[in-house]
Amino acid sequence: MAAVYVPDLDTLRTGGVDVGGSRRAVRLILIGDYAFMISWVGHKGASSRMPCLWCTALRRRTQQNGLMVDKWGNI
Amino acid sequence: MEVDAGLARAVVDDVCRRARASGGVAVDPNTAIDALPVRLQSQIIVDNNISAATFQRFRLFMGPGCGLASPMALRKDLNRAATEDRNRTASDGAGAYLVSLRAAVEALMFYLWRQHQFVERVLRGADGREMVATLPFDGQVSAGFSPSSAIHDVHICLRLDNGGLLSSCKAVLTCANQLHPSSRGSSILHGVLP
Repeated sequence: MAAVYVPDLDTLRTGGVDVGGSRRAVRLILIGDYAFMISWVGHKGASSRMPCLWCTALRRRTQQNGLMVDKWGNI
Repeated sequence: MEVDAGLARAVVDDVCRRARASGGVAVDPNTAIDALPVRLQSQIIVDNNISAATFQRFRLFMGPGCGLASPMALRKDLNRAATEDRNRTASDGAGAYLVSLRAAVEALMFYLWRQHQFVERVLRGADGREMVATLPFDGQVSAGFSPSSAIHDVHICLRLDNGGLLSSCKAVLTCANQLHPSSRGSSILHGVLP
């Protein structure tokens, strides 16, 4: 699905649109459920190590990811 | 279908009373339908999912002088509208979609601007304050990042619309720079996937 729509949307975002004689940037806002948004963006989902779509927090501190949690935080 | 003359009179009286109270002048719109363009009639048919047969039944009911378009004129206008850039569609194995998304979005922007319905939307910073956009947009190399908050922008929303009588998934674009962005008439149907 994204393969059909992404080129058009990318063209809009790079070129902007004409509004009242002046060119404006396009700010794209995704609206929908989490499943739609993660599939559109290419995120691995809520069960991945970084479950949040909007931030870089990790799920939980484990024996191996201490350094990453120190850097990115966890939920 | 019967029209209650008393009820119609009461409605007209109410309109006149409100016009007098607001200092305006009330005009009885007895020739409004004569001025209804064919394109507007086509839009009403499409937006409200009215079949051509129902519309013609209504036209015959109203009489020949009502100004509603004939079936041939409507068909011609719908065909003409379908070949315009903003409405042109194509289909392949993945579904049906608009050929030129840019033309559709710019037509919507033109309409909003002409009707003085374009509403500026602002961004808010981390402290909750509104951020003022002052810079013009000169294009950007990559679509991978958002434009600066200081640049004049429009907010385009992409969402899915599922369901319908025949199960399908529709990609819908709306522009947040208007009063009722989510109303059906204000949105652009970008594509339909089976």
